[in-house]
Amino acid sequence: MFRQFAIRLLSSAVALLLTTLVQAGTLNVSLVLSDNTPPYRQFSAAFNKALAANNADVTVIESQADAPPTSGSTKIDLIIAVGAKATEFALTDSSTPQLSVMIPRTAYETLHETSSAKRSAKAASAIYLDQPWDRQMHFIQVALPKHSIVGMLYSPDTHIVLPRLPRGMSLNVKSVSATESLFAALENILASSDVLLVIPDSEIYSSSNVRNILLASYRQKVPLVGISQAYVNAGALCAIFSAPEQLAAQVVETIISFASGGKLPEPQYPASFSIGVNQQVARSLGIEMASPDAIRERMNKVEMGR
Amino acid sequence: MLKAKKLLCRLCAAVSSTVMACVNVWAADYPSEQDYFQELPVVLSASRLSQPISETPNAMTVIDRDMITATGARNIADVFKLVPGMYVGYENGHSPIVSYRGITDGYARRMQVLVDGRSIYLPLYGQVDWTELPLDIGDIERIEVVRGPSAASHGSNSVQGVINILTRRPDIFRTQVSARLGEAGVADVSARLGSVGENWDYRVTLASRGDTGFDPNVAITANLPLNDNSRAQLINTQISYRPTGTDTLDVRLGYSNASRGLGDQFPSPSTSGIFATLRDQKVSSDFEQLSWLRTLGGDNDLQLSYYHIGRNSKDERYSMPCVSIVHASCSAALTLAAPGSYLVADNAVIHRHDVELQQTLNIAHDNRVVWGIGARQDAVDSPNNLRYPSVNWREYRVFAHDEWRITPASLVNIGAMGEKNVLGQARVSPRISYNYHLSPRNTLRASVSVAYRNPEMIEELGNINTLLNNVGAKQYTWHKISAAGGLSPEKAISREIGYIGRLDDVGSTLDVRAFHDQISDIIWLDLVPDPNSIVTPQSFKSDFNAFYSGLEGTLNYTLGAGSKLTVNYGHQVAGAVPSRVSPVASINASLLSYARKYSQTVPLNSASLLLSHDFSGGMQLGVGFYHTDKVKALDAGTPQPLARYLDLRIAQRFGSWQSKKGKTGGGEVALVVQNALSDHHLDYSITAIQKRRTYLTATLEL
Repeated sequence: MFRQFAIRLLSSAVALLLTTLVQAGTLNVSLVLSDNTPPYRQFSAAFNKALAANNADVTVIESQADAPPTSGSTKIDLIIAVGAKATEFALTDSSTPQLSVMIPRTAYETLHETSSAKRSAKAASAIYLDQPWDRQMHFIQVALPKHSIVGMLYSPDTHIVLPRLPRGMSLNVKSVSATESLFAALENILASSDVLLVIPDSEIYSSSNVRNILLASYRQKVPLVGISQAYVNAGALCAIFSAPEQLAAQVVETIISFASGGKLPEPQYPASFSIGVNQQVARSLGIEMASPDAIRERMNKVEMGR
Repeated sequence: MLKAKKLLCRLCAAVSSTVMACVNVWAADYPSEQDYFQELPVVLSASRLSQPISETPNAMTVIDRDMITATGARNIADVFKLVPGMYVGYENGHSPIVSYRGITDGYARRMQVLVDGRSIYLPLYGQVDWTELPLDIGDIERIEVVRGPSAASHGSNSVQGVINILTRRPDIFRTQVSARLGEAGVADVSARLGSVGENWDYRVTLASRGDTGFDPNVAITANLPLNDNSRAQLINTQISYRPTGTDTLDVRLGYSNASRGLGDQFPSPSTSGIFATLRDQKVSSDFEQLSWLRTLGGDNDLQLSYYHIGRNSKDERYSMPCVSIVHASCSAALTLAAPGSYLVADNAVIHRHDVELQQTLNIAHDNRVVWGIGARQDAVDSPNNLRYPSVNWREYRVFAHDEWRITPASLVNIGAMGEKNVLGQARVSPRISYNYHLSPRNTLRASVSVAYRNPEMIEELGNINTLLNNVGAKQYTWHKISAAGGLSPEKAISREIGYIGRLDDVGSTLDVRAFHDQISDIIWLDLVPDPNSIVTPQSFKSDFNAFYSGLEGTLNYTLGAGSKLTVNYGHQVAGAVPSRVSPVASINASLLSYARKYSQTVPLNSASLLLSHDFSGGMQLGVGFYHTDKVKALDAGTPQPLARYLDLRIAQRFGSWQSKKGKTGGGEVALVVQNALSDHHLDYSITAIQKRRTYLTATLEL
């Protein structure tokens, strides 16, 4: 009885102490959204929710890249730039540390290389939106063990660094230059691949092309692996991606450690990810597909075994 | 558009040195997160996803484009030899008979045939005219053959099976021309072009095909010619338009103009009993089809479709049914004194209009429903064949099908179609099947289904009657058909159990089933006396109850990369008993004799084998072997002997067709030998010899 009381007392004391500490270092964060569309709004909502859940005393000043805030008197400790446009905007401020999020790695690196404002590496970091190649390949290997030849289409302007491959897998990569040859390339790649992996390339995967690509791949019985839940809903067999909520949680963790240590970690890929599976497509194609949870579990198991 | 913007920006970057003016250069040159948040239309929506074979309510055979190519076939009908239990025979060079469950006569009446959902089973005689179809074999994407009644999914007359031909989507982006030349006057050309665009795609095919047909079997036909040459020209087009991300409008149009030789006798005033004068039949066919698909989310598709098919056939000749001397075809007592040549016409104008609304709905993640309503009108003007100069038949239907996954391992397909048929009779055709996955690779299926075949116009309203010269005061006629009418639909009940197995990871499958089908009130011939006619006219009546039982199996085996083997086998027995007793003893006797002969209408064993192999270097080999046991149609005098048939195809591909790596420009040259084993093949018709036939096809893709 006494022991329980003592523990409760002790924990209240610790909580009080923590709150005081955080209050002492109240952090002013400028959250810059690329625009006001749903993914950024979703991120903002999830971000605020995660802050509240962590009891972090952070003041958030939200703005949009195209409508910057009137610079108030508050001293900004950290800029969270959500998306490429916001990152581009944030780069005009060379003095404040900044964390980019929801941005593909190549976009982040390109923006930084070309930025006129040179800054110390420690003052800028990112949590990318894309999944690391290793994870994508691992995902395909675990989810579709019988599909070992991974086809990829890209337009010449897209810069891709080919991934290292797990044993037993091979890549089949084709460059496409114009719409006319997209379908020729698609026909060829579908004929020689077990699965087609989508990469973020707006010239190939435009909304109208996605329709034809999905129909052709379904007809050829070569499933499509997408990069978002939207792809899964549209007819891709599966996808691995990080949702705004997952990225927001990681940003909040980073902020908390920044508040205590004053340092940003190295740019990194998303820590947590989601898996989407379209079971109807799987069934129709006659592919035995595990549930997202089972796939994740298997991925973790293999990861641990490494 | 994006490209242009990029180029513009690069230009402006070169001209202006300010970075700010050219923000887009960078924005377009790295992948933006927009690619990840892109909103996409639901493409593979509920109605576009087909059921895997292990989950269909009926046994199903799928023949894809590669298989069609490997057979070397130039007639669509030949492809159906790859369906276990399917009969394919030829009445002559241009009249194939495709029929499931043997043959009772030259028309296959108990099977629905659809092209992209459009019924091409014609209402007048109840047949499909394969030769003049405005469809080129090269435009077929795949053929799904449902073996068993499927009214709940495919509408009325899906009695013994359904052939569903699906044409290529307009995904052509290169022009293709093809020419074929060979023995038996084979001369075909086709050109195919199209384009794939942002909001609309199209494909146009132009083709002409023709040959001089088979050779007469002089042992039987003496020196009569066999006039069975044919030629058809066609245009077939499909346009797919997507006004929004959720709407697709498909327009399909086609037209063909065909001519085919008929008859085997030259009209001559000195010969008597000539019925089949040499002449050409001219047929033009067209179709127009509109389907509008709206995707209301991934789980809800609404489709409205309308089509019209038209067919105008003209077959006129002068015949001398009987002249002055007794002929076997005429009643001996009716030797007509006045010689005469009479115009016999078989002309028909057919218009079919069909409209249907269908909804596919995932009502839960484990339950998909397809339901719809439809109406059809068949308007036929054929005063030479029917009692009335113009006949207009309408039918209405409502259908629903539910695919319910009770547990992950078991699935129930339950459905029914209710129809008010052309004769105003209401019928319900239910179907239920239970598929149980013993493991993800092994499935058992049991199903029971019911379907009805509505009487054809000729059966209900047929009247083929030619007035002849008077003999004395008596007006003689040549009255071939005089339908009494008042028919009811034939009813089929089918029961089956099947096994579907996946044998490996590379797509090998085994599909076996045992079935027992009963068809009641089969409509067959009834002779009605007409004292004025020189022949006894035929009417139609519900005559038999028949049964069919047997085993069928298909093995699709992947031997290696680019090497596939398909083996089909069918074993079937049939029998019938008369369903009525006639007061006329002779009619009863003929009913009994027909019933006894019924068991011969199915081949006891039939099998087919297709091997396709891709050699390195772009060479392809296709071997098709087909076997049909002895079979005899009810109206045939002599049975069709055991038939074996071997087709070979060797092709050499070049350019992009060979390496798959080349950009554009490719093609192939293919040599096909049909009936390689023999120079004297006979099937349905014993008067037409099918000789070995060799032809060469060259295809060039630009």
